[in-house]
Amino acid sequence: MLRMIRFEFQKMFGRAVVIGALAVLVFISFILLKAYCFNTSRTTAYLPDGTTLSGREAILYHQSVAGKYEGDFTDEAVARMVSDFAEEYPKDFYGMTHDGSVNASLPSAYLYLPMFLPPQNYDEIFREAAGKGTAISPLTEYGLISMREYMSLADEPLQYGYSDSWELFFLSFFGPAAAIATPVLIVIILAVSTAFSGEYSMKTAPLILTTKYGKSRQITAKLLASLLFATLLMGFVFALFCIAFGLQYGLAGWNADMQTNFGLCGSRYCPAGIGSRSAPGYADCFSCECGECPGGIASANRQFVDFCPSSPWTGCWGWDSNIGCAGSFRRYSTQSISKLSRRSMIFR
Amino acid sequence: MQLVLDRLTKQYGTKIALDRIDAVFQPGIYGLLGANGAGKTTLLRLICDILKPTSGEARLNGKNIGELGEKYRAALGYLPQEFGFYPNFTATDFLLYMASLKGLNKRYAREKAAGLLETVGLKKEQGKKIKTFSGGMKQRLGIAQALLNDPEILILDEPTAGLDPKERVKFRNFIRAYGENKIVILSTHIVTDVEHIADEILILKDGSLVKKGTENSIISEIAGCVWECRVTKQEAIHLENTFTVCNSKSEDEKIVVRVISDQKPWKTATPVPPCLEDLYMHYFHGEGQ
Ligand SMILES: Nc1ncnc2c1ncn2[C@@H]1O[C@H](COP(=O)(O)OP(=O)(O)O)[C@@H](O)[C@H]1O
Ligand SMILES: [Mg+2]
Repeated sequence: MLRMIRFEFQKMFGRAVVIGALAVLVFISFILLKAYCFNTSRTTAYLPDGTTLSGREAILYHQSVAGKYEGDFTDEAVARMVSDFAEEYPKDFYGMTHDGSVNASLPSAYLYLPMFLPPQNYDEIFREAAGKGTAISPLTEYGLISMREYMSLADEPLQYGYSDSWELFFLSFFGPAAAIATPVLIVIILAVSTAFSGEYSMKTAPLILTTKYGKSRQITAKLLASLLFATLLMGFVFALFCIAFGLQYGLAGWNADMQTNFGLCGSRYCPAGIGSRSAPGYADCFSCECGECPGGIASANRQFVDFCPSSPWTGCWGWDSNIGCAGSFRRYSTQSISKLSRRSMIFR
Repeated sequence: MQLVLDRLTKQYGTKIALDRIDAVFQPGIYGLLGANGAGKTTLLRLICDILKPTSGEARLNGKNIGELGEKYRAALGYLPQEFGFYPNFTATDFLLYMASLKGLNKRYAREKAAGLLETVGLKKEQGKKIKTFSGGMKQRLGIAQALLNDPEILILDEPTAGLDPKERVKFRNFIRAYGENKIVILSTHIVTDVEHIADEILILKDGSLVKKGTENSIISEIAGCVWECRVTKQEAIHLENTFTVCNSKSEDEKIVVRVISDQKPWKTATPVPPCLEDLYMHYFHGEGQ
């Protein structure tokens, strides 16, 4: 059987269509890598002095910033982030707490902070931060939203660490660049179909069908070879992406603790619409289904406060596909909150 | 070992390609003679169980070949008239692949493949890709694959197509030896391929078996009807238009014409002993080769 499978492979790779399709696939892979992985706001870094780094240097910069907060992800760590952010990027901090205009190439550590900044406290936070400089104020003074609000049932502290580049990779590979799936499937279909139809088109069927196993085991061999081919090809493309990405941006963060993928989906004012994660100036926008967010667009926009007056929560946050407005969010039971949190941790 | 065809019939739409063929094959060499389109390929494909008969059946030792399935195919070797190869396989690859389909173990297959490549004269080309092969080389490789499993039943559809005269002689000698204790059925429209080596000749015409028997017994049918006439060019043309002419050759200024006729066709005609070619012409006169 193994021999037969090997020969099936030999046949598949003997076909010009298959080889050609593989070559095209590699080519498409690089285009997709270039378009989706090597060319996003996350692979540029905007420095406090106003310069912009890109590529590997940008990644290294993001890593060094994130490295400062590595370890237990506590309210205290958040406070430090807010404080550092306010000092290093006063303009963007002002933007974050006022009109939502933040640079999308900010260090990843700061990008999701709005999640912890309650809009009604923005002014106060801003004043405090401006006044204190580098000093770390107690959380309560800032009026930050506590980690516990999100992770009420977590008994162990979350772990923070750099994860951005590989997170980006996986998001790219399984997200937009899953466009690669279509060409991969086409190659698989080509190769697999030739494994079956080839005997007729090449007129080898009369030879095959008069052999002892030509009508029985041969079919199994073909099926197994097809399965193996599909698996190997998928693995090959994945490995190709990994290697290309690793060469480009290094390995840091690939093994980040799952918990660091905590769903920090803070969102800003989204004037145009939703889903503009990569639009410059807007970190995250998403659609809100709570019915209480203006235009169905969720953000931590100040105007929004007017729409949720009764709620101590003044933001809408995305939990994967479950979007909760602060108001309705509150109405979830603690158990479902934790479920949501865990889901967002895993899928972010 | 006995292979029996029992009223084997194949119909393509309304066209009857084979009409109730009865035959019994025992170890020995069988020559299936017929013009193009007579139904030879169809008959051999039925015997190989890659075509299902419209009615009737083929039995090996009393059992339907379709029901025997793998067991039957294990005893079968088949050279189709038209077939393809995997162009990127080498001759050895191809034989090893066929051997794996035939269920031969790996070691044995290697030895056997090497031996057969030698037999068919492809030893030097064993490592070359099949796409570089000429038609005759492919044909010889086809013969080699049919022999891989030392088949008890060897079916060869126009095996000599593409072989040069020397290779034909070699092939005939090989088959003569192989057919001593195996059933060999080979089809051809070239009489000399089966002349003198076939134990039995079957003549197929328009889907029917018109003649069956040893060479001597079937040519005795036209004994006394074959004549040779030494004539001029004009007279030769006249003879060709009037009688079945098997052969004509130039000799000096004259032409010697071989004619089949119940009566003496020409005043100077002399009777000659018939041969298989004469019988073939008798049946297929006027048809394309
Ligand atoms: N697949 C088919 N469909 C329809 N007619 C066919 C098919 N195969 C063969 N035939 C017809 O059956 C007859 C016998 O063909 P074949 O067995 O190939 O003859 P031979 O091998 O003696 O030249 C021919 O008239 C041919 O046209
Ligand atoms: Mg034929």
